[in-house]
Amino acid sequence: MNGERLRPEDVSRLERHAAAVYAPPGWAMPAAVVCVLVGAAGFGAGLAIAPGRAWGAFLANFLFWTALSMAGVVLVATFNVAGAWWGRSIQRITSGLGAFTPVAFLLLGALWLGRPYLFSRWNAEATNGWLNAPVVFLRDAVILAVAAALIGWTLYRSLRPDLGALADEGRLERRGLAAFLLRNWQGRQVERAKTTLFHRKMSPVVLLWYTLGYSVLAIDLDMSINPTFRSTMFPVIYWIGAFYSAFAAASILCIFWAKSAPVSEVIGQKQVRDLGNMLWGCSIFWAYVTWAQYFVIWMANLPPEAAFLIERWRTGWGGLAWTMLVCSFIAPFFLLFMRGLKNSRQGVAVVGGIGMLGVLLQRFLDVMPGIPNLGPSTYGLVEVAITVGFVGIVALPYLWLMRRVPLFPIEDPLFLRMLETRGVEV
Amino acid sequence: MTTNGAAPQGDVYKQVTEDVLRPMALRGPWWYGGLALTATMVLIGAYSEFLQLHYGMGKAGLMHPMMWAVYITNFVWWIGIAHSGTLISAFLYLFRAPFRAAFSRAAEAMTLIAITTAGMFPLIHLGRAWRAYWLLPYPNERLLWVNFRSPLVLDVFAVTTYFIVSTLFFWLGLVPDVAVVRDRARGWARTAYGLAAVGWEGRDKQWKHYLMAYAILAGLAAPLVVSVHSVVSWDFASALVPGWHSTISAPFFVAGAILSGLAMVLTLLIPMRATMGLKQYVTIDRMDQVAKLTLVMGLVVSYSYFSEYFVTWYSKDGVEITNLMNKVNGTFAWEFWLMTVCNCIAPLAFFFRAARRNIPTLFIVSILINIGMWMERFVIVAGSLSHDYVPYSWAPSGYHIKPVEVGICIGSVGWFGFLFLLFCRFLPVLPIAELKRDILLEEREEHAVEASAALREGHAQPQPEVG
Amino acid sequence: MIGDVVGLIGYFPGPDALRNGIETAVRSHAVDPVAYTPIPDASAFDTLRPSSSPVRWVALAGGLFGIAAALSMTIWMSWDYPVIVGGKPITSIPPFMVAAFELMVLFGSIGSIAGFLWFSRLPDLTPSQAYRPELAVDQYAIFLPLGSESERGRVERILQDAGATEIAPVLRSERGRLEVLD
Repeated sequence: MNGERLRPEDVSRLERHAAAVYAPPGWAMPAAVVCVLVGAAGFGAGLAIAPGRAWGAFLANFLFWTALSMAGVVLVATFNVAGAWWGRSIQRITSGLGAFTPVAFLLLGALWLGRPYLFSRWNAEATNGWLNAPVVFLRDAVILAVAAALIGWTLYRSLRPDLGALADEGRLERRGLAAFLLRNWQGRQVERAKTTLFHRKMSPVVLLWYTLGYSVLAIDLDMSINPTFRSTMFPVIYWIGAFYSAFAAASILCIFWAKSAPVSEVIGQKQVRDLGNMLWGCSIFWAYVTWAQYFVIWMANLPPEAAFLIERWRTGWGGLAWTMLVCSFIAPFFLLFMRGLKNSRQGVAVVGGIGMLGVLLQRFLDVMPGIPNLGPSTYGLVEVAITVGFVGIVALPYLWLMRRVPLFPIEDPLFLRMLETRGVEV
Repeated sequence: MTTNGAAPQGDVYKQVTEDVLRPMALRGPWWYGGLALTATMVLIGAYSEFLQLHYGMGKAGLMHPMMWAVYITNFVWWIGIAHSGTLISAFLYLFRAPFRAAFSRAAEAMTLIAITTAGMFPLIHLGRAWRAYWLLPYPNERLLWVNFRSPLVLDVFAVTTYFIVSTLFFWLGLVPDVAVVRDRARGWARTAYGLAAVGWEGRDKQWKHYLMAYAILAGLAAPLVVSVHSVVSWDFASALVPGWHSTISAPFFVAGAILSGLAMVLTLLIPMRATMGLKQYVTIDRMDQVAKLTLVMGLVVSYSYFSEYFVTWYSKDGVEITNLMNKVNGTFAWEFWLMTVCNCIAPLAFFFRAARRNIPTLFIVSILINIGMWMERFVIVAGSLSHDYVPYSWAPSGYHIKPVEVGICIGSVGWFGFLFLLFCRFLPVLPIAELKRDILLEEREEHAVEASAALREGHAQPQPEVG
Repeated sequence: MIGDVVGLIGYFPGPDALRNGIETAVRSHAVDPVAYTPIPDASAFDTLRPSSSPVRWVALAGGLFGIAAALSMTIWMSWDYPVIVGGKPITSIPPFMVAAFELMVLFGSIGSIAGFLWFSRLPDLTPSQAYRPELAVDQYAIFLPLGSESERGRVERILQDAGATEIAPVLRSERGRLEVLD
């Protein structure tokens, strides 16, 4: 069915190839810097023309990328909780995105400055004191700080055995990040066992913190933009969007690494198809929760709720809203029906890109129409430039981390098992 | 018997077949006792329904504004249990979960039986059950059609579709196994099983189309179950009643359905594995995995409760808040707290490995969740209706469930149990072909792992191809 | 009591042997081989019949029919006696889409079952030439039909090359039923 038959020799070759540190393509770092500069210029120009737009785009991107970066690590936690091994080969590539979370913590501080443009309609009185600006920011800062700590800890624990194994074999020098991560190295067996134990104990914690903390984040910084809108589904949509975009990011990153690392060998045809199926499932689930919110609001037709939808679908924002729907659901759903596409890395990555754009547009549509004193459907180069800037800000810590660590969780027993049993089927 | 060490012994397969078919020959006292007990319960239910039909709906505790109470609670509860069976089976199939085979058949049977049970409640609830056909797209005497904008009518579509598709899914899964039973049966049983097996012989062409059809059916059944319980949730959520109108209700109901279904699977399988000699297949490891899934679902359900309370508090909406307080600290307080303890606290036991692997604990927690889910449906249905916008229509605190309603509840449990016992007796309780397939897959995987290990340790022999 | 030999059946000791056997048989241009297995082994079946199962197209047709049926029914019935209920338009697409989804699943499922039955030529309640109960329990076999008695040697060789551990002729019995001669 999957067209590959791996012999034990092939497996051991793959294991050898996987166990190395690979440098990302040479153009990546300069490109990321250029992106950041473009973003800074766009943000500056935006502040001069229409500060609401600049801050709105900043907030939308902040929400999207913060959730995405942690979701990258949460995927690992999910694989661990589920005991799934199909995703082992994509987990490091994706969880590296977690390096952005500390930066997100800093960007939250920047958002404080944008408060007058974004959150001027917050009313602590009407929300039982929940939307009290200093409290909100303090609360969210704690959420992000703990999230960053959990991500850091997870990455540390999962990187350590891999780096140590390479260092023990003399294939990696113990300096810089490797030296830092390998302090008090206790030998391969012990470290492996510790990591397994850590994953077992902490994966549920990571998942829970992510679900609860990011739900609060969704309410505080996203739903609150529209002061009368209340939806119990809202955090769920945010959550599943993040998961969706993490799988999408994985599919794109596989292509990003394809030239400079043996990604295409290690991530087999079966995993590519699984990734395609996951993306497909995510887009369907995304559509389901989005629809379930819409349907209940449509049926009840209560003004505070309906206004949220009408503003986005029946005004100048409608075009963008439809684009969002096509990108996050309609296009991925129909494209991934095609088997040929689902079996092709490029095809899956293209669908991932489309889906990611859709989720980003959803964040954008959450935020922009709710910004006070902003005309309908004002978007353009400023927003694009700020988004490009965020790509750069997310890429920089990712590239910094990934050029220093092995691209695959080589000491993870389930990763080995995944490689060994990849060609097996009934 | 084996070619290259990867093929399972024929004896193993024979053993699997014998083990799974053995319960069909068992007719111990537990089986007859169970049959007698459940039949009595059905009679109690039938008598209660007779009283209600004869004397009218006054026999039940229903009164304005609580026209939806126990019966609709039962409908939602049973349909929740019904939903999770196919859902568990279809989703685990799509995710290729290795522990599916231990549960799928019983879960699917549970679905079918629970859906017939659930399907009776709208009719019982109607009072004039003979008017049920008005729900179908059929013009009444004024040539009015049904209102397709109402989730209640959509529910008819959803539940009917669900019943048919679940039946097909169940039957399709049974085909190869029923063929085995057919080959051994004699007389009328041979004819009956032969008809069910439609002439299955395990030819490659049959398998090929079979696998495709099964995958499609699983792919269709998985979103179907989600949609059906979502539509049930919209029966409530699309109304303006405080406590009902909530956007999260669809996934929340679905999660609740999975939780109650997993609990019911545990409740049924624990005695089954003990009495039918299936411990070898429904192992502690499998139980552990289901317990983990139960824990996850318990957390999702708790999250949904909490998000509803939070948004109620956050919105400062007086009506919503008094409605909630009427549950927390008012007429429905004990049901509310029972629900919270059973659905939010009890599953937390499964954070501990020891609890997940201890059969009595599993059984007790599963029973608690079953109770908790019933209470949840009751608190949502009755609790919300009893306290909405106009104080005039607040239900008197003296609302009581009447004996007729209790009798019908007992009857429904009996009906479910009765049919399930028949299932255990007449059909293979585990999917035989799939168990064998899992054994083969496991052996092939082990073989691949061993071959790699041998190579890594340097004494590599030329290995036959694997896979 | 013994009639014509209609084909030969070769038994294989396990799924891997059967898979190798199928590959050999296909390579030696065996005519209309039929494999019997108690378990599904998709990769082996793919060797025998490489084209993917057309069942999915029947399912797709069923699904599309379901969508069309639901939408036309709901829209037509709503307009046949148009009443505004709850301020919703007569053609209310959101709830109609729910009905469309349900009927898509319903007819899609019926389509896939119908496709399975049709393409597998089921129901067929008369047992075929080579079937015997062990094949549903733990035995694996390939049946090769014989056009004439003269082909027997060639067919037997194919089965031998394929690794069959036991080869038996399949006979047409007196009552018209086909039986295996052990």
